[in-house]
Amino acid sequence: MTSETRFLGYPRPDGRVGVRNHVLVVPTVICSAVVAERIAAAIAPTGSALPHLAGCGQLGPDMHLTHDTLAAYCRHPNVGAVVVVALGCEQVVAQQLAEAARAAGKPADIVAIQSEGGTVRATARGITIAKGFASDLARVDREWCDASSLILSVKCGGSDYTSGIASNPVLGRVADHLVDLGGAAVLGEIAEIMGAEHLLAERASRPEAAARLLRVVSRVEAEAMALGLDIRGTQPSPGNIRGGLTTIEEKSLGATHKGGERTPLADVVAYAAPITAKGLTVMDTPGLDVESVTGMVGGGAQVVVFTTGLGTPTGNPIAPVIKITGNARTAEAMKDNIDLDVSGVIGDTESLDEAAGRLFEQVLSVASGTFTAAERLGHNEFAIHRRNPTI
Amino acid sequence: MKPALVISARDNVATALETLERGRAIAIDGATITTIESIPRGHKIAIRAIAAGEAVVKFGSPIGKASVEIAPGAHVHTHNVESGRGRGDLQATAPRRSAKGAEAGEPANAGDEGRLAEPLE
Repeated sequence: MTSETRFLGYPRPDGRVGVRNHVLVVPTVICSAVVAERIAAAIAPTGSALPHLAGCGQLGPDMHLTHDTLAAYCRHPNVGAVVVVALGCEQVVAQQLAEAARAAGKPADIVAIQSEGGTVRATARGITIAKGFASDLARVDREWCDASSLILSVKCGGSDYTSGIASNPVLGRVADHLVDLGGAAVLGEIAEIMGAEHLLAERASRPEAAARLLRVVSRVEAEAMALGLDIRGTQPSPGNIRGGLTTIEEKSLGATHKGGERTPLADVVAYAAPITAKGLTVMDTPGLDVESVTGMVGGGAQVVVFTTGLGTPTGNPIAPVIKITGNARTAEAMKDNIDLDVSGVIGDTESLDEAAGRLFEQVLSVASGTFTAAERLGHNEFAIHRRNPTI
Repeated sequence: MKPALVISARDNVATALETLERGRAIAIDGATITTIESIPRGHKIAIRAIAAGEAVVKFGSPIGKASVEIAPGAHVHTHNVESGRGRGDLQATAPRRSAKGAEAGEPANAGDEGRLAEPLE
């Protein structure tokens, strides 16, 4: 493993450190999403929008989750300034989102389509504000920061037999190393812990974390069973099964390797809730890739490492997503989307530790500003988890 | 590259790292296992006899149970392994909501417990 433990980042007034310096353009509601996207596009790639399907017609918990997730992105250290785009009659309150950004020390402003006088005027005014923020942010230089300020989101998707024996163990070694340096890792996808929860619970640094993990896994399993169906075909997915994975237990046992081999389980948190513990945090997210990454970045992860066997393009609007694969065929067939090929682990040409060393160097390089494949390709998928029907 | 990988000493299956044709002899821990059918790349091969109902073990942990007796050298996959998790289809009591109901748009979960309401401090 490289002896380097620093990267070039953006220290923020709230004590966190960013690896990107985006102007975030946040629609409060689906109705203002197109205007938000047009504003962000005018200052790409500094500008990044958060188009979403919610913000109105939601009751209780879902309403809070939409607001809290958007507010978490407004506070996020990878964001340097915020433009909130409101419609005017929706549930999510633009002032509260702007206030969340300001409380974290970021400039923020609001454009409302109804009071501005329609799409054209609101877009023009939003672009003016966003350009002003972008030119201010362009004058900010990166500074050397310690790796201990990083929260690494560990994720897998499009898994096959290589995931559990190559890319996930490689990523797990990087998570262990980062935690050794004082940093943190977050693992989501509760359904994909099902069958491996005993291994994580044994590693809990306090009994409450173990108990909470088992309770959350049981709840997700009970929800799936309440449908009266076999989870197989969804978990594992048809592609997972073609790739050789037979049961959810098998998928989970391979998947949890990415959370490290020895790092203690420190905490279990709700969807998009702040990740405050050093060590490994489990977040209560669904297995769906984009909802899961959206939640973990909302919790404060600045960098995502995403392992894949079959290949997948998923990115995020504000956090770089690094793709690694242990499948040599996928590395070649989907080289547009893959950042790191660790198939040598299976071909016996590279050890797990050597591959982990390369990945850790890549994490520091990306944290310092190197674009990932997903960033180069403009992949900025974003989806807020929801549980209940739209009203 | 080895033709097949055994991850843990407790495992009773190996993972084929290349497609193994029927009749292929492979060395596993000093013994020789001969495939009795073709094993696609990435799929599993039994390295011991596994009785019906016995745990199939990979990564040193159970990944399900054999639904039929599995001979050494056989392909181990969804046709002869049953998962023990998330099996709403096997519940003794009638499901709270039928698959048909779920497809018709019934809420999957509208209870008090949940991803949002779970008291996580």
